[in-house]
Amino acid sequence: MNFAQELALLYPGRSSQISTLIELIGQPTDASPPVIFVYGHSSLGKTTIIKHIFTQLLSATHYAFINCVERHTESLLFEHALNQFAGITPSFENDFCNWVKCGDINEFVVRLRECWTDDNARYLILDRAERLRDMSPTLLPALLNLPALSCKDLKELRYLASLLFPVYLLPVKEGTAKRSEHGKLAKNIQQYFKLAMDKLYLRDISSSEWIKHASEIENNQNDQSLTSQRMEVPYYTKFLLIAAFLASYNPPRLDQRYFVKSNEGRITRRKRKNNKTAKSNGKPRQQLLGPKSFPIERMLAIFYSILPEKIEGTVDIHMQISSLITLRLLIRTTSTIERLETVKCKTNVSYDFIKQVSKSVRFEIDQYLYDFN
Amino acid sequence: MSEIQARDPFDSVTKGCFVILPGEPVEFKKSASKAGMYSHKDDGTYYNPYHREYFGFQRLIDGTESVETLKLRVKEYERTWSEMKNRIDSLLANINKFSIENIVNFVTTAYNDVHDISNLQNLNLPYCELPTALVFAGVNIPDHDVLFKQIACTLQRNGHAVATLRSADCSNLKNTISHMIEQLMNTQKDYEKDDDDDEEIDGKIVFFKRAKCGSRLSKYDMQLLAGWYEHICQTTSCSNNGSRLVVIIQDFECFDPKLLEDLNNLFIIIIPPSIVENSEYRERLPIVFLIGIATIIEILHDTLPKSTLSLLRMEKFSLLQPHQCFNLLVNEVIIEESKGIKLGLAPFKYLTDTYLLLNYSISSYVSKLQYAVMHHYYANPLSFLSNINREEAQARLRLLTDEHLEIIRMQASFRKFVEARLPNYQEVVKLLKDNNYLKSLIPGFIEEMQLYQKKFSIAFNFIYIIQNSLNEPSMRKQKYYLYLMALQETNGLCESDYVKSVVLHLRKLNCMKLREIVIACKEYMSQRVDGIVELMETISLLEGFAEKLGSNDANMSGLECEPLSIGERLVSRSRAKMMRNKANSTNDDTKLSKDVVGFFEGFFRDNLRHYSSIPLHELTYYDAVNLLKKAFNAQPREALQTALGQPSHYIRCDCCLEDQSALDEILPTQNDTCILYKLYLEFGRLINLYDWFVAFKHVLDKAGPIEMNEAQYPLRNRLMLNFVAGVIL
Repeated sequence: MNFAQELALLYPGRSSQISTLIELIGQPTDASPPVIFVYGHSSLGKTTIIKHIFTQLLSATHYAFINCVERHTESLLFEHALNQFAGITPSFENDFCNWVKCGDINEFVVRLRECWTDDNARYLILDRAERLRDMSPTLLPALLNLPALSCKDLKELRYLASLLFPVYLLPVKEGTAKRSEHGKLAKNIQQYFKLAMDKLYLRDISSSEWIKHASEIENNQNDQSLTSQRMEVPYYTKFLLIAAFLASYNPPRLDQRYFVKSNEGRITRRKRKNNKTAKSNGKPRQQLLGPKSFPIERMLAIFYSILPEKIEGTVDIHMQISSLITLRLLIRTTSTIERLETVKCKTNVSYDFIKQVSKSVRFEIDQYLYDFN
Repeated sequence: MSEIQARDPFDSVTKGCFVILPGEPVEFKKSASKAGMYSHKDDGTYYNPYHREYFGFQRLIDGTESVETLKLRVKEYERTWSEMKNRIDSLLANINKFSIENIVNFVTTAYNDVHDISNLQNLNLPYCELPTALVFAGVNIPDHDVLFKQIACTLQRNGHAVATLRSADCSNLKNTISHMIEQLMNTQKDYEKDDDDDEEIDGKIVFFKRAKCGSRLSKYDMQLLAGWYEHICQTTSCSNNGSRLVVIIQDFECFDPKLLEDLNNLFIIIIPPSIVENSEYRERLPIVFLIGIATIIEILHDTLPKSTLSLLRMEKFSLLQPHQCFNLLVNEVIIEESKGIKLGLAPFKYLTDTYLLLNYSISSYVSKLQYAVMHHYYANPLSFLSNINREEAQARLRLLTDEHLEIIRMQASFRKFVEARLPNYQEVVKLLKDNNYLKSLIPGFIEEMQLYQKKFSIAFNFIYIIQNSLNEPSMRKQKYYLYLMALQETNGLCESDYVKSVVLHLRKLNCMKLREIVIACKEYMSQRVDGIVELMETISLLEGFAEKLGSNDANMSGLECEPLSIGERLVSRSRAKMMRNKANSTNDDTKLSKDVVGFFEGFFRDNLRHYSSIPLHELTYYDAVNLLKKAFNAQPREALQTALGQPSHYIRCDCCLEDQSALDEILPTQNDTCILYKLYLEFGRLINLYDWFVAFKHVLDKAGPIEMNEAQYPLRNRLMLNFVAGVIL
């Protein structure tokens, strides 16, 4: 008598559901569907049967059973799940400590990988899953995408393999290496791997370009046609971008200190900067929190103050601002009312980008950024 | 305004747009001018017709200008501008020709390629990839319309069906698709009408009728497109017709990422059923994506999810960078153009600055240029003499009136011209007094100007050629920058440190290099010579130089031109002998190269003079930069402040104009908003709303006692209403 039949005897009338579930789970090393949705009226035996199946079929660290009423916040849920995967029970002996502290889905994924030591599948069982809707709105979609977050995309793997394999075989075809000389072949393919991870994955190089250029890449890795383009922006627009970046990351109360053009101001600024960095350890830095929105007027004030020469405030500047918004280099945070004066924005460019821009106009952005590195 | 005030003391203008037509002041001046010598006062009503007939051009010289010269100015404006415009248009059409050809090529071969290659290499990609061309079009979005239209036209001419999607037309998937399908099917219809025979067209039209009155499929159903394409394939004679369905996404940054995602997935899914059976090549509609990106490729990674990205097979096409584009434009329209209106220093600098520093917009550059040309002909009474040939000049001289000649005498360049002739007292008197003598000189002036421009541009390009062949990266300057320098150096470009150092570098060159330069210069010049005798002579001179340099070169074949190292010199006697030979020829060389450099130096000195040294340069050079700035550099903040602080500046109401001294005073006749603004300025940082209201009321009360025949309450309400409206504004 196999396991399914045993269970069917225990839970009469549920034999088809039991066998479906067992088939879906299969062997511990099998890949199962990303999400199994078990539904039905209350007290039909869902929880009991599932609990029974999992305790019998899998070892304790391969599944985590979570009651969503009991674990009503994200951190409770994640920490409890991780405890089970890691095989730790908070108790008097270990001072009621969780395995790790975990508050969000990103951390959860990272930790999950840490405790994932073998090839076996892991199951996260959520009882009373309807309660998930009451938690953060992003939680449910994130959990549903968990396999995508934690596993490799098979299609992507196939894609890379099909592009890289011909290159791998090339020495064999050319007769410079034998089929069995794995080491030599692997060494040969290594440089392509690096390139593929950088460029192919993001489709910076398309498959056709790859096929055409693969042979050339060998010769010059920094081929002009394959390196990504640099953006050309008018001179003043670069300063607008810088001003937007500064306005997004600097607290407004420090504007006077940074942008009032006098020597005294600068000296005090530097002194204070060091003190502040030491003090503000407790609070998260703006750099980590991401850009804050600011009124356009503030950005313009910074813009005029950082420009090396004085210019008249013409309509062209405002046009550039609106075109930056269209280009999504600035993001508008207020609703789309047509009056430019009341608009609030935030920057949408990375530090590396702005550094490059600043360099091209010889502006030392690091001197003006508060608590940033 | 005053009438309204009289009727209702609280009514006022809150919003308005004022159009001030030209003409009225001229009418005024005309009646004021005393002598009616040349004014054709037939009936006095012809002013208004002129506005429409002559682009609003007016008679200058206090309205006494003859209609003939007015007409000539209009005509000349139209001619000059259309010539310039043509040059610009053809330049812009050609500027990206190469890139566009590449794009067309990509589209045409998009589907062949993959199959060939994948068959060759036995590739079996897991993804069904959509060929996608990424077009990096630069950050200046307003110019993109023209560019993408150009691309679309070229693609259509090559037999592809094209749909251009702009984010403004595509708010959701439904109207995006219907928009796209409509465009694709229309273009294809047009294209086939041109190419196929009548019978074919009939069949097609029936099909379209059926499709369009469509009771079965809605017009945003992709099956419609699939069915239509299938039909096209069956009816067109060649089974493997090369036409692709090109979908251009013009402004990628503005699109809703979700929408693009859906669109991509949709294209992958759609498979026209019967085509699969018929041909092994076509598994789906041959859709090619063309995505216009204004920024960098990273934006693509940011907006589209990985799953969508992996469906695209992208190739990158970059269009000309703004700097290169601008160089070409300036070269074509301003430097090499020997006819047409030229920009003086200040306008050129202004236009260059706005382009390079502010917007990178070719179209705004062109419109500024047009404005300058138009204003030149509009405001300069002498402009009908600009850019004309000898025959025209004779005819036009007859139209010159005494007033015109007086104006000529008033020009700064004429003064320079006279001052240069001061020793010759007689001639100076003749110049200043004798109208006929002055008239006889004018054609000469005009010709001199034209010749100067021609020679200047040639000499200018020589410098450009030389600086490019010098092995000094620090010496290389962009053309527009060089030209700006030429305009800035009032002593002439040849006096500038830069040109001096160019000549210095030229001296250091060996004869081979020099020969290359001479030949390049000669070739450039022979394209531009237009049968002018003087220039022909220069060409033959250059040819002579090239020949001599060449023969010297030939003599020394076997010897390197570069000086040998000391060690090598000691190697053997035969070598030493050769060295002697070489020394001889080096002497010849030095002499020859001295000659050549001397020629260049002289040529530069003669031809790179500053334009202000040419008499009557005012006819050709436009210098009114302030007007350009006023027209194109709108300053919203300043305008607002003026409007609020001095409303009379814009409204020109009588009440305020009378009393100019009381500008700062708050007059009750002013607009509510102005009054509130001025009161606001008087208050400190915080305003008590009630105080503000009381002050406002107080100002309005100054206008005189409010009529009391109305009931007190409605009046007070009305006052309140105005106050609130003003504050909100």
